[in-house]
Amino acid sequence: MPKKSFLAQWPKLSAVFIAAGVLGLASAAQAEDELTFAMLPQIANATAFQNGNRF
Amino acid sequence: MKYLEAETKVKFKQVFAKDFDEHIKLCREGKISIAYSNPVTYAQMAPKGKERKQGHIAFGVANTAKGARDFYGQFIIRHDNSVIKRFADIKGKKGWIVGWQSAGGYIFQQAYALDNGIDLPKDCTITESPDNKQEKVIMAVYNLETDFGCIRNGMLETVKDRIDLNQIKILAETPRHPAWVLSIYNKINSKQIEKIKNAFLKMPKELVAASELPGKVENFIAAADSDFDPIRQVLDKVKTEY
Repeated sequence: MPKKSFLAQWPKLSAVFIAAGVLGLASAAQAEDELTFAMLPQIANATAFQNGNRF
Repeated sequence: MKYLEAETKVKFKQVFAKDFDEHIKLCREGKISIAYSNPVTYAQMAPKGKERKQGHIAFGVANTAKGARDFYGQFIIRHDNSVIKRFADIKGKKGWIVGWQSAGGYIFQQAYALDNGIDLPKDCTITESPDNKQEKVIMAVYNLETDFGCIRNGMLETVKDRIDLNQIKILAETPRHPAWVLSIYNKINSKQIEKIKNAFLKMPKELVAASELPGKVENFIAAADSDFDPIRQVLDKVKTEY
């Protein structure tokens, strides 16, 4: 069977690229939607606060 | 966290820095998106002109029954101290501090002392408290190991069951600053910043109380980066890097 040219395969390939792009965007959006929160270690460790500390 | 997630539709993950330096570094890099810190730490993680463009920007401060500006330093002496009668008398005397990097236990006091013509390390004999403990400064004053001590406000109450507080006199107090700062990484998109800011600022009082933050925080009120310029002036005066 003769090999299909790149152009002949293009519709399939572009669908794959588009799908990958959509997935990539989705995961990027998900990453952006997860944020991190932190309290100063002094607060996170209430005992350290009670016992006196740097601040 | 659940409240914040429900209000903002953003997922939050709590991270724990191992110490102050790591907390500042992660905030500067944006690996901590939202932080709750003291104002000196905040100045160290906020953008700084051309030198540091990325970092955290303040959007709120903790409010208590005593107001939002409830962070200051105190100079304490024994009540029966016959030599130190006024602030100028500490010149040439022995003093204990919490630590050279302690805002409420040295930096605020040194700025205050400089404004009053005294340079603590040069004009007094200063000792750093072992393990940077506030209570050890109080005990050193109480036990006559030192002439005066520098502590953060609120610390005397923590030893009220161990010593007779009538023996301790507050000689002077420094200007007041906001105690706790809410800040957000400045590269997060502005819509999210607005959502998060609003969620914190309208957080119900009972929910804030349930989180048992130090200093009996009642709610959060809006703040801006420029509110911390007085802190920067103190740090400049005391030559502390930020």
